[in-house]
Amino acid sequence: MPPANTRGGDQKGFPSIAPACHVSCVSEQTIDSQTWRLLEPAGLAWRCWDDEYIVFHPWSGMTHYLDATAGAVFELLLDHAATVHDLATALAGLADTPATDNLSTVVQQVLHRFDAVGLAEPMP
Amino acid sequence: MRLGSVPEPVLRAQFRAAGVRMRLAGLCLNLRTDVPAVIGQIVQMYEDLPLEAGVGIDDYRLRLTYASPLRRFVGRRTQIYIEGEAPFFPTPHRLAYLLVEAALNWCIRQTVSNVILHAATVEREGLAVILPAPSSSGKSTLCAALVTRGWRLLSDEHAVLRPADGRLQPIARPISLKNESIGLIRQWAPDGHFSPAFSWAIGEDIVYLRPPADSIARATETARPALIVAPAYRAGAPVTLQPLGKSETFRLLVDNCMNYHTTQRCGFDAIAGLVDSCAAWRLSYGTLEQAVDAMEALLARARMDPMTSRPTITTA
Amino acid sequence: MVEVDTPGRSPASPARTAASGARGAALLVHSMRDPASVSRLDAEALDVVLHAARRHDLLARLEHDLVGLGVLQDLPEAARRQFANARVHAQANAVTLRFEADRVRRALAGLGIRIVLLKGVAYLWAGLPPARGRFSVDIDILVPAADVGRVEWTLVNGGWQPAEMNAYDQHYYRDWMHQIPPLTHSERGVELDVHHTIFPPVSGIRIASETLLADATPVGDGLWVLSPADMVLHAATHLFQENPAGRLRDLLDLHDLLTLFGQQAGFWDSLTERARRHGLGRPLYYSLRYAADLTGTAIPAAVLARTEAAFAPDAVQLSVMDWLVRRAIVARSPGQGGGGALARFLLFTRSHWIKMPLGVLLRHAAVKLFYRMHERNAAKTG
Repeated sequence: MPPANTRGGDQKGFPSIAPACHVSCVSEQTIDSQTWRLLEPAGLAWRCWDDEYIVFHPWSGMTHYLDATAGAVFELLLDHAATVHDLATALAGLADTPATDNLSTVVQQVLHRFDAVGLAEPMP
Repeated sequence: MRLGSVPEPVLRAQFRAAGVRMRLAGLCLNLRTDVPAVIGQIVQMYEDLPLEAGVGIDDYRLRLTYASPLRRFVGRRTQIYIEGEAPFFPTPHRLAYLLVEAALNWCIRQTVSNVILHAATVEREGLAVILPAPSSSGKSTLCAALVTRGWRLLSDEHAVLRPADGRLQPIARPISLKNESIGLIRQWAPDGHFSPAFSWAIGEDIVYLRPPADSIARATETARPALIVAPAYRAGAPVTLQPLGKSETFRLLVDNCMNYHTTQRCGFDAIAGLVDSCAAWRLSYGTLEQAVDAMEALLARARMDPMTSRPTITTA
Repeated sequence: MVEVDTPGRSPASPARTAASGARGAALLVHSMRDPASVSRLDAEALDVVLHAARRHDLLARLEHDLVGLGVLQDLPEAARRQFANARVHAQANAVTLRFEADRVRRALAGLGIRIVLLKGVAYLWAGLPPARGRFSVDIDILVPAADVGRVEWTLVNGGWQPAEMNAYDQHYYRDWMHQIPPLTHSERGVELDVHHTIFPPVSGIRIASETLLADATPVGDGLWVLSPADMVLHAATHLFQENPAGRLRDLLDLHDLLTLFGQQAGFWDSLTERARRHGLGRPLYYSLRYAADLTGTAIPAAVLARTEAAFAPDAVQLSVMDWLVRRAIVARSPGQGGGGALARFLLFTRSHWIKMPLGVLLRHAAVKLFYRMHERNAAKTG
């Protein structure tokens, strides 16, 4: 086909939630007790297939792909706002493992990524 | 009134003047042109296309003409304008028909009331198959092979998914075949109605295959999607069928969706609905016979259990 | 008002083409002023309006008004189809814009400075009438000039990428225009323009941006929009100091703002006083004149008289401008020739002349040409 300099086209904006971001230098205690909530949750739609969550967030217009851990955090926040500590504890309970520091770090990373894409925010 | 039923001199005059109003893909497209060679080619490929009489509301106004007054006589390059804008580069006038096809694609892709996937879609016995794939993946070739073996053509390029009922809307347009595919399909379907070849670069040819009469006759009949098959052609490779997980299928469909972001919640629901209700496979094949056989087998399975969510068979 | 003609459908002759373009322009303006009249149009006239509205990005706005009047469902399916399509586009755009503004707010929240939203995103965030059916491709914000560096640094570290451009274009944006080079978010792809004044300083017109910021109106969540008078002046500047050709949409926005704010006590006095202070009397005068003339905006006669006395150009210039704007603010189909094309060309040249003094403009054109040739040569040899 002769090349087409078409304008238009669609914008796709849904990065995978991979737990890879920086944690700021504040004491662990402070981070653990910071409460987080979903941002503008009205109209959220999602599916869970093969342990992956696919979430459409009407407020941002974006679609997010969450792995099992991020998906679990998302589902917990759907019920109510929670601290990192609460979430790590709940996750440990679901997986039937002890709530380690590592799990807490993973939860923080998930939440920071949620913040970056406008899915959740730390409460004031 | 059909395009092929209008006497040629009348048609030419209409193309030059007020334009010919064509009903395609649920749209009314008004095409004006003063490039004589292209009219015969359009009639050949779209003989049964329904026309709108008189004056009325057009979705898009298309105008195919020479790129400049000079270009009518020197160099003879043509250009197509859609609503006054030219989205494509000027083209030698022997290839002007390609501009028409490109413009029709463009018009179809502007729709955001339906979810548009870059996919071939075919139907048999009331079950439709969506074949999502980017250009040059072989989906049009496979599509041509299927429709010349009794499958109905919905489209070789766009799956048009209606959000209200999740059904597919047909666009029975000519199937585009490129380079090696041309010889393959000529051999596969020697009785097919092929356009002349358009050579747009050294070694780059395009030929169009007219859809079977049945596909054209049923062009307003929607279809229920039952299967999603991602085709991958590799010459000489053995045929394999791999089941696709649901989240993987969702990503595949979104990656091949032309208006996902604009359709917002509608798009999400429509594609999630497809994933929920269709079995999905990746089909690798080395010959058309293998691919067509595999598709028949998948269809048979879907007929028995259309809501299968985790298919497990592979065929050698 | 432009003369209405009733040509045949055949576009064979240039005269007929020009006449049908004029008819389309008249129909469009009439339909935007009186949307209810659309339901009384025959199919042929409706087709003309639909295509003209699309060309001016007015389909979604007209759809919104028709829904409000309860007459959309009475239109033929072919018309409703086009309107529905436009609505979906506009709604998706509103979601994208609103979210993007929120992300900018979040990124800059820690700096403790006033962020003023401009143009489309301002109308949207503040829920103003021009927001209906609007499609904007980027976000414009105004920040204090002293904080531009910090803002740019914060945004670039927050995932926004500066546009790739050569040193000359950088200089053009930073030193001559009123913004830093456009930023684009690396994941979301939306363009962000950060302004530190609303008119290029190089042109010799001094805009007191400190007062723009100081007088801004809060709209919640730490974001601001311009005060009503400044918002009108910004829209007026954006339209009449740049090229107004084909920008009926922007004139309609002005109509909306003037109609809404005109009901507020003290607005007209504030408007004319600020125009004087910012040196924007001429674009204000044009805005009031052409809003009253073309979009039927109700402007108090005393206000029109006052601005005419203070800011109008001489009679010759005014009649030329009248001709230019009336011919070109509604775009005819491209390639129509005649007055439309000439008017568009003259307005284009005028807008550049206003932004830059002539000597600078010539130098700018010469340097741009050099760069383009240089890039082309580099591409050949590279």
